Amino acid sequence: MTAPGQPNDAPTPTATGDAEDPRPDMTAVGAQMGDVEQRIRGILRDHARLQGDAFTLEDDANLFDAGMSSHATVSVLIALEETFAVEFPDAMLTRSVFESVANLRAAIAALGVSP
Amino acid sequence: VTAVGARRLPERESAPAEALWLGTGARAAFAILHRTASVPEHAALICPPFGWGEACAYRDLRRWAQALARAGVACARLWPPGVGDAGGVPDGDQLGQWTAAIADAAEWLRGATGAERIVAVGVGLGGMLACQAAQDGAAIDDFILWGVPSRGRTLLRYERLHAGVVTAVSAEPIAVDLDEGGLQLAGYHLRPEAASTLRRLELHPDAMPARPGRRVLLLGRDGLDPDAYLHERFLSTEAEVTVVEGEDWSDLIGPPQQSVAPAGTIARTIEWIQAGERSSSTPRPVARTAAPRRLHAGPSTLVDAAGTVRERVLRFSGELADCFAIMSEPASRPAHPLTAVWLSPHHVGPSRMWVELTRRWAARGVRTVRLDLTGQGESGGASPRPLPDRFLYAAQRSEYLPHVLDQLAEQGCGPRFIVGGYCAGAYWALRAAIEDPRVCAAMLLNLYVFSYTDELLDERLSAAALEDLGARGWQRLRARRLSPAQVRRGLRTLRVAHRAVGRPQERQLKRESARILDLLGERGVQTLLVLCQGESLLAQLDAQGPLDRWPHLTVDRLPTYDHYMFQVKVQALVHASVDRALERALETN
Repeated sequence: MTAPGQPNDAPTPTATGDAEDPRPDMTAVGAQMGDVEQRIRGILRDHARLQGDAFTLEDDANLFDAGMSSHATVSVLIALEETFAVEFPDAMLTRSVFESVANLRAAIAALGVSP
Repeated sequence: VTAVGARRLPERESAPAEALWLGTGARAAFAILHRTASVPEHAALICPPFGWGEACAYRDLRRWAQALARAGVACARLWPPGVGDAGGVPDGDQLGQWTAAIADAAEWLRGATGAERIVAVGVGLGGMLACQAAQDGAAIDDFILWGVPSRGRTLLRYERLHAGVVTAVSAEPIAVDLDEGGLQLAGYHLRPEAASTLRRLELHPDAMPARPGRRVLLLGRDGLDPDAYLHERFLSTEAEVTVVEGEDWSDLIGPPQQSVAPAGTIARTIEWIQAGERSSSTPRPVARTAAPRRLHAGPSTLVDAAGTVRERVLRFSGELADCFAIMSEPASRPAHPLTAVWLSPHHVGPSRMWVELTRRWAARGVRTVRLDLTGQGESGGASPRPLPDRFLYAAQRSEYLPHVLDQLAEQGCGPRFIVGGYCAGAYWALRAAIEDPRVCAAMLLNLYVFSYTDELLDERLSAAALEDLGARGWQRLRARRLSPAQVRRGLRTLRVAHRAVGRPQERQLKRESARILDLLGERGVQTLLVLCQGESLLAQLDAQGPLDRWPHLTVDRLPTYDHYMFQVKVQALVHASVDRALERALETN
């Protein structure tokens, strides 16, 4: 059902899709989340269906560019919530929150998970 | 044949499927029944997921049903009221209606097939409602549940995230929340009452009335375990519970052109059902049992509360025998001599736009047919996965719609026709308008091009890839974020792009487009183009110069870049645009 040449589920560089940017303040998160980050990357490896290695992906690399589909995003959400025993509020159920390892790490921190 | 890993699923059907409505009027559900050669021990009732997920999984749930029937398990796919081709509109207590429809369908399926046991195959919301129906007393013996949470609130959160990700590819943000508590989920409108009921829905399998020998198969999704509460509560009953991984969830639920039949899970479900059969005794002869008296089941019915529109499943012959189409026609007034035909990759459309369109036009007095392209939706024919664009525009499709018009004329429709469609359907509607003198109006939504060639597609893909490479590629290369394979692909693109310098196909297309518009004008074909921003044809039209030299042409531009028309407000604009075009066609014919 796509127009020829148009990807089915691909991001556009200019699109965010979020009326407001709900991403937590990155500066408050800090960079010392080694264990959390490892677990996030493990979840991405197992559930995001990325084309590359989740453990060598740049922190701010776009996960959708790397192959994560809309349905895989839901699998990642489920795995994150089970692993960290948190619940993402509706305001965080957006594309931008799931766009990169950095954003996911920030979101997990904002939900009260300590490094 | 579609290959998925080591497994293969044949395209062919064991027996023709029967499409029919269960009940009549606004409460009529719609079902497609796949019978078996002999009376089955089990019959499966497939309850699909909601909204975009259902559209994505449509073709592959069909394959699942075919595979079950070939394996001796009769199968029906169900669309409850207000969904798909079912009667009614989505309003009021949608969830209550859907749950009741599942209960009725389970009873009907047992009677129609003679099966001893009914197994509900529920995906997402469909699985939740099948469980709820059983809790309310529906005669469902066994369950296969895939991607089914125990709480409606959880499902809504998943749908919200999914919709947010899918619709974010639109250049315009699409709010998930609608006024008064309703939700628009990737183009599908969940009315406030339904959203509220779903938010409160909680399943308690241990509260289901017991059925002897109940078996339950819980499927995880892509490495994630099934819902823990459902698992635990089913275990607390006397049911035999089996849990398997369901590693091909993404195959089923991917975008329509990318989704593939989840062959591993299909095979596993067949094995699981067969393992529950009493014995592999000699098949019994077919003895069709009458459906329960209170539920009318047939290939024709009224589909609205007022009784103004009747629908029937059309039968075609010859090379169109596999073609799936539904006719909406006025039930309480004479039909207009114009007949409309709407062609799309899937005859239902997002938020069942094409169902609403055909019924609205039928209420206006115009018999209107909605049909699927060959190999798409419910139509037979090969359907490779992933589905290449070239397949949708293959030249052998050019005779498809004219043949449909021939057979409709033989059935007393016409003599003049309006043709319309979306995306590839719009293209074949245009070709019919060009070549068939019976066509007096064409309505074309997100038409890709006036004249398709593979060379043009290559040229456009190369240009787009080059542009993308220019925008992002060098940055990624410098940051070492490109893999060797990506670099190789980039170089290959550059070579093709080099050959396409000067865009010779586009230049030729400009002349051909003008010729086609001249021809349609000479023939008096009222032509409507409805185009989203960013569609290739918009740029091409801008390059054609002033369009007023074609007074028969109307161009409506939609305020969105979203090809799928996911926004409810955009869908309303489309409905208004095609309705105006219908009035113009009726005035001049």
